[in-house]
Amino acid sequence: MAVYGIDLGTTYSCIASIDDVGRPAVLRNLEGTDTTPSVVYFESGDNVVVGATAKDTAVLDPGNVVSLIKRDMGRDVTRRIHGIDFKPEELSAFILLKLATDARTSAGEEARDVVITVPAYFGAAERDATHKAGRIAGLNVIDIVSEPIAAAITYGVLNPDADRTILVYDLGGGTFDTTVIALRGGHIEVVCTDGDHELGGADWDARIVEFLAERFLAEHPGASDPLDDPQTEQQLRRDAEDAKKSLTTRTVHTVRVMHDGRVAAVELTREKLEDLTRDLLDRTIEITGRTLATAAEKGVHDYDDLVLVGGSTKMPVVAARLETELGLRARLQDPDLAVAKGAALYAFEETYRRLVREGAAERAEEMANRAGLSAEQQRQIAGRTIRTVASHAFGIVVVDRETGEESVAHLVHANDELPAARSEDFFTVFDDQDSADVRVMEQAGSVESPDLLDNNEIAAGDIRIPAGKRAGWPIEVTFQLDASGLLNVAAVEKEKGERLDLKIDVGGMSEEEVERSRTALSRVQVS
Amino acid sequence: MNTDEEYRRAVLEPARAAGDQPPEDLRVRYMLREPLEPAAVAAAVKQVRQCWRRARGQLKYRRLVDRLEAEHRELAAVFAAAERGDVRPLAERLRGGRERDERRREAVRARLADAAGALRMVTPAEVEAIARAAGVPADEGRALAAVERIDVREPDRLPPTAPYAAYPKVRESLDVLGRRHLPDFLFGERLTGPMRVLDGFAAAGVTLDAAAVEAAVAAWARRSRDTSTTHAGTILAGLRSDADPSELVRYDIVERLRERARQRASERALLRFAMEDLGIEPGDARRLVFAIVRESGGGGGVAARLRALLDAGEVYAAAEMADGGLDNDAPDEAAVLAAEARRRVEAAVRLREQAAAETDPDRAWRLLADALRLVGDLPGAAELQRRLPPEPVPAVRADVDVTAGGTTVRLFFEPSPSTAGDVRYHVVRRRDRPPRGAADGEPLVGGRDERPPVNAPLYYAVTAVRGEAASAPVVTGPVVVRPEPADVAVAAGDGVVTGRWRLPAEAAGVRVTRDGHRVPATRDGFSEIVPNEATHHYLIAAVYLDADGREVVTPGVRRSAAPSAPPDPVFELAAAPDPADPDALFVRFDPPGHGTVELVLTHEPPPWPRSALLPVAELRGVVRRLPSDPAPGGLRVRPGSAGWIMAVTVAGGFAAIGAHHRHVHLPPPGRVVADRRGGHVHLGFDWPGDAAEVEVAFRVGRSGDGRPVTRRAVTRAAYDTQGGLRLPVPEDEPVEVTVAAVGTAGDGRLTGPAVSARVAARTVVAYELVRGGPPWRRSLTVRLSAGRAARIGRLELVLREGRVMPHRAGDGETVQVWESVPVPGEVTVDLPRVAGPYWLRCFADDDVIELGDPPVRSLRVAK
Repeated sequence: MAVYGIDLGTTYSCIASIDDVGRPAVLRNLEGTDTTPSVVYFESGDNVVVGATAKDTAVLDPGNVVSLIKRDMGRDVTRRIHGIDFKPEELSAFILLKLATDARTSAGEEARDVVITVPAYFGAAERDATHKAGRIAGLNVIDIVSEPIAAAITYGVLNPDADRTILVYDLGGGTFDTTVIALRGGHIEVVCTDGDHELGGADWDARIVEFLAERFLAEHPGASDPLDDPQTEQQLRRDAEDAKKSLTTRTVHTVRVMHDGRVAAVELTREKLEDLTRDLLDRTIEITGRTLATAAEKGVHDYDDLVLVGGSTKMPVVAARLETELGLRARLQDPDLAVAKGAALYAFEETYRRLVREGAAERAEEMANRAGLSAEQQRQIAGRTIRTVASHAFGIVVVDRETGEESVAHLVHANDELPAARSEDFFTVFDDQDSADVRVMEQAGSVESPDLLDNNEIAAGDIRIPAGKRAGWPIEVTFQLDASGLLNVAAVEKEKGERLDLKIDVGGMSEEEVERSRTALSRVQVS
Repeated sequence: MNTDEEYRRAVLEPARAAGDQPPEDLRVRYMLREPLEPAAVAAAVKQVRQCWRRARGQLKYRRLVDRLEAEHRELAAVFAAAERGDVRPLAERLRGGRERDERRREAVRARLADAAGALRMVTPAEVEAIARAAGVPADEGRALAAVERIDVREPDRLPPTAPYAAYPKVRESLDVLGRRHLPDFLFGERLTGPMRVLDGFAAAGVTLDAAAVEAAVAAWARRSRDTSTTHAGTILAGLRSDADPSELVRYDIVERLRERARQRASERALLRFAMEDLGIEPGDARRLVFAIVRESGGGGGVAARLRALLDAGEVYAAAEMADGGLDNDAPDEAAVLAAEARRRVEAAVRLREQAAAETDPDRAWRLLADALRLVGDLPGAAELQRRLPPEPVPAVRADVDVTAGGTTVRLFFEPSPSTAGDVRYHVVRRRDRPPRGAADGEPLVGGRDERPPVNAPLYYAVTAVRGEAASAPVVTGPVVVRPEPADVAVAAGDGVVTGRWRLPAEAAGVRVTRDGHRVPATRDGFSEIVPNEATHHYLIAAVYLDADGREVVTPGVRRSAAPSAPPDPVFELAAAPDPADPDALFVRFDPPGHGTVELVLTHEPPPWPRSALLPVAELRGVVRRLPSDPAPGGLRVRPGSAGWIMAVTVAGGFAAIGAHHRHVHLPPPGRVVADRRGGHVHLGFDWPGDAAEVEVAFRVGRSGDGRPVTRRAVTRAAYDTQGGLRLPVPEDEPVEVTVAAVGTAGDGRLTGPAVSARVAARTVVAYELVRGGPPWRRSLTVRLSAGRAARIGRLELVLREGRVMPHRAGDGETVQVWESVPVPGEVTVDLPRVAGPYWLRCFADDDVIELGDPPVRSLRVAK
């Protein structure tokens, strides 16, 4: 039974598994490329195309093409296509299905057990949505793992003997995060993490698109705005991406902007690109500075390496700027594929550890032997711990009995070590109260705040309370964030210690909806 | 229309048009319906925010959506309360929204009124800017301006410089004579009503034209000469100059208003000055003041005007303005600009004077160019520069070119040694005598004379021109053009040669010679009987008469022709395959009397009847010639594909169509493989050539037992998509399969040679493993059964330790081997003494027997 690691990216996705000699290998898609564009095209309600073909079609039929889905994960935003409302989880499921189907064609066996990566800065709702997307695609999601951890595993496997502290700077297609990770004796410990999931290569592209449109209008003042035409905008996005990629090696690139039957040849130099996007890069530097300050509070001052992950770090200005600002020599190590490979390694090791934990040592050994691991390596894997931290603070809405004002009481704080479980006693407000609302809130800003407006509601539920209880009846609510950052909430009645009926739905979709989507989407042809 | 589109059209687009300003009315922004219901409000807000998120995917909405989200954060408390059931804060807010909207409109009206001032006029750009700044769409801004009765228009363009260079002197004289302006001077008492100056001069009772000016000249001429008449003369000189009098009048009025504007007069004061003191009609007065106030970007004053003039290159006008109207207490900037203008004019005037004294026109041209670069409007400089002629071209040569299109004369000349300025060249042609200048003769474009007159002496002249000045012409000639006969074609027939051409009308006749002998010919052609199989060379020349009536013969055009007898067709043709090479054919025919036989291939039936004669070139374009080897009685060819093989006989540029043969290319299928896979036989082979389909025939059973043959036609697509063919065949019967290529020829089907394959019958023998005997001597019996009696060549019992089933005899150790075992029957062996787990399994080494395994539980021993 093979296990797979999936890097579900904003603009490109990738799947990897462990080969016969125990090394992570990326499985190519049917089009023969390592990475698949995370773009979904609905030719009809029941024929869906994912990947390069979908991306090509975006120029011709922008209304039926969806991209940058990852940015909507964990949000209640649907897209109406061919009269059907698709949730972000369902759209992501199409991408996962494409990756799994192509992996099956390439590896020759069913790809079912997977680990999916998410940005470190993803909160509980986004992680939960990703988990559900996997299930809608009919996959068995072993775990959700943070992208920098996956990158660190790849890094750790390539540099096995050294204890090192590394700063992972992950600038992907749509998200950005920085993470400080300590590798000690084969164990991996996340010190702290920070990021922004509205910042990525796509924003660089958007700046180029705006520039191209502006220059086109300057040259043809009588023409309509290219951005008013969705088809031209899609074409400009493609041109912008090509220009950005070309400018990593060249210093000048010329784009022919065609719109309204007119043409303007716009020259873009590397300096111009850097000027246009300076504020974006500044934001990443500022977030990195904030992460380093948090790490310093936790006693981490020295770094051995700065590891660059994500396709956008290939822009020469990123490494150069980081070197000037932080004085660290940046290491560009397989930025496109390191995360998927790390996820595959994690999936493999985690499965091995679970088998060992469940007492199925034989199966674990058979799995290790198949991958050609030595006894020493097996011992190392069995003993490896991965300690991670919460990306955001969590809490629930509490009501002040005196003033009736609502505020958020945070139980888990950002960068608290995971898994974290916090219990707190709450009391009913009225006599004969039959239920109590539980509203789980997640910090929305970069620092925590008790104000409701500064927090996002990620889950809501209610506790059934036995009849005939007076006001002030105590209930113990336990919040548990597991090591993958997924949230579980449990309530215990204090008098008899019985578990109460507490129904909490994290994120946008309930379990029934997930199941319904899975059945509905299994009828759709995805290629 | 879906919600997203509706929302974009109704809310986002107008907001974008208003400079990314979200609508103040929350009812519009959140698509709220009255009366406010908590559940409906929550649903609408959620839906609208989803719309925002989706719209943000389009770059044009990104800034607006970010702004909406930012403002939503401020409103979150109001909506949270509404969601909880308390819509009062929202209702309160909505009332506030209407008021805010009204306030915003009020602000726009106030700003427009400020901008319009006493004139009640604004420019479209100003309306747009005010609307944008206040967050109102431009259309609404224009509507509000209309409500306020504010005229939205572009300011009239006023003359920046005087149409008459000495206007300051005219003005001085007008002041001395005590006249308000030029019309007052011209018409005096007759000017009674208000006058219009912007769209041409108009005033009641008077007309501004040359007659009016002449009348004034006559009136002043009658007066005794004194200083006044001198001043009047100055003014009249201006009016009689090249400048349009109405433009001069307009400039006079404008200049007086500008002067007041420079003196910081208010709009109201300017308007009063224009209407009352200058007597301008109120509408024109408003337009004039509006244009003057907007001229320097909202009353920027002298400095701005000077800068505008300097930027436009009108330095002389700037210097004039500085000399005429700059006060001592003018702003510093204006003084600096004025000084610069004066310095530049001084330097330019010096250069102009230097140029006037210069004898070398090129040097003078450069000096003037420098002067004009300094002062674009330096009086006289441009005219002087335009009148400086360049050096003539060094030499001209004319060549007569004879091409298919006719005869042309091409002129070659070196460029003029003058490098200054844009030197262009005029070429002219004249008959009989050399041209004397650039305009003497017919002009030619591009140094080529495409239609020169024939048989006449021609002279060509090239003149170098710069501006308005031209150099002396350089002449070449005389050139006489005598074209050769055109479109000469000589054709060879069977023992005859004919010629044809077009002779220029000017030619007196034609002279044709063959190998030095004259051939009789008319003006248009000739026909001559000559021997076949020899090449004959002809020279065809035109004959002209020169001015003295002597014959002049042109060098002539050479053509050759080789007459030949026509080829004989091949009447009959037989084709047979080459036994040594399946792709080759022997084509046999009787050799024709005259000509060489070629074999050609066509993909359609040949369109020509047999014995038809056609040019070889026409045939080559339609058919493919087949490479052939000589063979006894004919030729050996490899057609390569299906088609019609036709014999053609070629001789002397003609081909005779002969008999043809229909050829279908159907090779036998290669590498036929038939495998038995359970109840099917799988058939694979290399697809035969370009056959459209194959015919597969298979017969179950032994040959001769009379069982029917099943036939099936299989297309290439079907074969490729299924990766071979699956034929249903009972497992215990032999089968013979034949495959042959099938093609269509015309309406009939043709079948190629067939290839057969045989698959032997197979007998399925089931077996059971039965354990027996007492505990100390356990035995194992292999019990064999089958549908009919058979004999297994070799039966092997294999044991494999562990949990994995043996798949081949070699996977475990052999317990026992039996040879030639009859079926049904059984064989027994001692049960192996092995500790479990282990597997037992039988394998048969026999081509026609297949063993069927019993259930796994009897093969596997767990302990």
